[in-house]
Amino acid sequence: MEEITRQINWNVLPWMEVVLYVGAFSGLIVAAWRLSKRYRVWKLGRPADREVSLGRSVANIVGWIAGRGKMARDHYAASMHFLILWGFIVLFIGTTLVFLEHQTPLHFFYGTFYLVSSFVIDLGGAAFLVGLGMAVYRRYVRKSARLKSSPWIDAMLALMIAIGVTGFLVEAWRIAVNLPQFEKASIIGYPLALALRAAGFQAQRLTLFHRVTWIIHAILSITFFGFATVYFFRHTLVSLLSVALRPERPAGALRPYEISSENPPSGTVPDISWKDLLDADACTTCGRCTSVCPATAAGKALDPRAIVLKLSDLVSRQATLAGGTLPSALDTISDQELWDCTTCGACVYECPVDIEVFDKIIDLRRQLVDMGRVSPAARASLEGLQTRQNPWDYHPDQRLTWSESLRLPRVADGHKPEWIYWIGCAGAFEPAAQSISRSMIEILRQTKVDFAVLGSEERCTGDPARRLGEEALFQQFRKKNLETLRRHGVRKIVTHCPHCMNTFKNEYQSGDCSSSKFEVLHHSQLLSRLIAEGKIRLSRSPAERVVTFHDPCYLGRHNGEYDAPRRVVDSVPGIERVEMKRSRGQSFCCGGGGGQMWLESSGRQRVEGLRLAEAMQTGANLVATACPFCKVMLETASVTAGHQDQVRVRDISELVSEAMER
Amino acid sequence: MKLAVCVKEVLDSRLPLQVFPDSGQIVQLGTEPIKLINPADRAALEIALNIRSQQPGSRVEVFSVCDAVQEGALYFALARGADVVERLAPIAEHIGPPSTALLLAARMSGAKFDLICCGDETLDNSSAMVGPLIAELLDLPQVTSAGRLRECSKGKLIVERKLDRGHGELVEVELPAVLTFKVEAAESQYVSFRRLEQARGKDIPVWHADLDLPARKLPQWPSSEKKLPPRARVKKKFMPDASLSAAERVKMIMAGGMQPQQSGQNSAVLEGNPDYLSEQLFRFLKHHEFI
Repeated sequence: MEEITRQINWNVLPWMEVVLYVGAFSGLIVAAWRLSKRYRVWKLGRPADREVSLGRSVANIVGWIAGRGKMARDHYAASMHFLILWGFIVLFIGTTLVFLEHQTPLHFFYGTFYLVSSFVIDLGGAAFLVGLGMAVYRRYVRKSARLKSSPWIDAMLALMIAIGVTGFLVEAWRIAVNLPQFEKASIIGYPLALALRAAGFQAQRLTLFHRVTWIIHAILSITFFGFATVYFFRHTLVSLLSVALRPERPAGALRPYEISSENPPSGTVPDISWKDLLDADACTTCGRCTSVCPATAAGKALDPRAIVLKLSDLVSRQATLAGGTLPSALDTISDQELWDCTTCGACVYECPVDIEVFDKIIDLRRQLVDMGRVSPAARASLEGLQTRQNPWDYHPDQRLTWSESLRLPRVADGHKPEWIYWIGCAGAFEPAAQSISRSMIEILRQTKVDFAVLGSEERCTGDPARRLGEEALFQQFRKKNLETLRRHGVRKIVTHCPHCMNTFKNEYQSGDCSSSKFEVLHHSQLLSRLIAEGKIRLSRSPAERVVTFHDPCYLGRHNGEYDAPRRVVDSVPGIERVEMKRSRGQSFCCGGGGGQMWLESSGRQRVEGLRLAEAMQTGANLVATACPFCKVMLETASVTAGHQDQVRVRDISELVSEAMER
Repeated sequence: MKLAVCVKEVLDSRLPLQVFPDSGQIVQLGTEPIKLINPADRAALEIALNIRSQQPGSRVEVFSVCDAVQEGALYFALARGADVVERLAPIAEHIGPPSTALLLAARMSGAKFDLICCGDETLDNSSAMVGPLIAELLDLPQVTSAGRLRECSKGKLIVERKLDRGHGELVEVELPAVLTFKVEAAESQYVSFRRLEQARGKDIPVWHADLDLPARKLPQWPSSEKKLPPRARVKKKFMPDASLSAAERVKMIMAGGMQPQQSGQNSAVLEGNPDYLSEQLFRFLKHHEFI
């Protein structure tokens, strides 16, 4: 019985071994050197908002691997990536084992271990090649639209395929010499060896071919390691960091940003947080952010992947800087790109490696605002916020003008209510949203909820200010509003505006303000609770029969509330609810968030028009939503497209108040 | 270049205001008065800052005649990027444009400013007097109600001025000079809250006039002469016949009269595509010198 093992580096001449070790070592050095250059640039960035604990980082990575993160949503890409990644890891471990066996006193490469490892390594190699095949199919045959083409990618794909193929060939030449029975464990190598023998290769030639293939394989692998940190291939290492360092704050909360008076920012590396620079290098260029971005879909200037890649380019420019002025992200990123973002968060929701895409956009907006580089429309609403405390630029005393006949209970009257109904600027000033406020008042009165309003003491929560990049103004709003809430001893707030809700919930009660505690409900949550408790009975059917629900970004994606509004819609009798192609987490923005409500539209199409068309495709003649901005945007879209007779846009509270039993 | 800008803080006139005719005092109704830099002064400031950015080594100094509580416009100018701001303490018994101009002129005489920029008029008093008065007191050439700045080179500048009926002119003026600008002379830049707060934390130097104002020579302000408000006149309102269709009513309104069918000398009903209609409308307006 022959011994089940093999001679390591059989048939390999000493000079070849020297080439391998010197080459591999220098390859790794080159890769590490390249990465260290990036690392030095990351360190120049300004501090990130929060340090993530080690335990948390490990948990993030384990969770990501176990659940395959958000990547799993694209089955093809996920399987492809799984095969390439794990195939590569197995091959890498296999090579390391061979090295240990050969260069250290450890000896384990015989018997069952040898058989099992031969089998597993061959399986890994096969997975690696199958995965690469899938990549080639997806990139060059199916031509997936969102993929970015680059000679680097073509070259690296070819290189990896060549490494996989030559690896198997080296194995097959070696086995083909003697064809030992136990080598059948090499499920690819053995049949390949048989095939080579069948093709008529003689033993003499086999050793020569083995040597040539071996050296080619070695050189290719060395090259691969040398380039492993080039272009998006650096994601193999950096993505681990971006996943590990994922911030703990809620999705809807923007990170704070203190602009220093001494060094007003201008988009240079020291003005960008180190996490954003690291994130930019973690980008795999997969393009999922861009494929879901409403601004991109509408043909606007913004392309979220381009923003991330331009930041990565900034890191490169900084790394190769030879004196002179610091390169700025604003050299390559235009103002319009930054102003096009609706902060819908679809990009972050999709990014497989947890890059905080739109936070980068907001940070750069903050820098533009500090420089005074804003469009006239943005200036008007920001100045309205500064002087009149609302983005619609109305006088603060006119907040309750719409409700004069309703005689709303005011907190100022000395009444200590259970709930504060926060009407918000849209509910107070925007006619399409005032009807939401009216419906809510009617429902609250009908169900005898003990509530009051703040009246002219209300001011903007600061959501548009913050998202338009006016961080200092937002903090001023937060301070003033928290003072008002404290003065009146407010414990529970209900609002029909998801933006107000998000700001109260995620931005008023965390960080520096974590001491302030109050409960905030979105009206969909209160309504669904009241319906479940039987306090609201719905008996009348609306004229429309088929309803679809549009998820507001700040209710759904940013706060995870998908079901409450649907329960409310479902409780309206006589209607059928249908879902749009993109709903819940994948919902498509109405185009009104992130301050877009007050900005001019750029681009070929309007985001709200795209969404309305999608809603109408379901055959629905009523679009229900739960956000004043969504209502205004979609209603405007229906009028613009001339569809106001075919489809009506209503807030869920309007549906409830119409269907309510009185 | 050495540039001076004169600014004033005014009440936001887009909100309900009450004017007391006897004292000339203007009060804003509501809980908290909202104050702004006078928009035309803001345009003047922008013009000065634009010149500074084009001509290295320039300097922009901003002045306001006001009490300590009305320094808002100066803080704004500081936040916007003025090199120096200075408050000129008013003299108690002399309020109004003449004494304001006198103080400004006293401060600026001998300071060798190449260009003094003012807003053409304020939102509150709208006297449009301060700029011209400064020019007269300092014996400098002046251009009033200037629009955009066309050219600014050593020793002279060229500005646009709008005239009536769609006409305009270019005015060339030798420096030093006083210019008063209209609101639309320059696009305003946003000033972030952070910069405003930072400016508000600074102390603004105050200048006290050391001069014996020749009180007799100053006209009274507001003018002591009382005038009656215009007599209320009964106006006949045109109301189209409710029995007609909407399209016909619109036609009647656009034709500007009760009986479009008897097309009078100046009224006509036109139909056609928008290009044709706008062309005809333009010709009509031009012909009758509306524009």
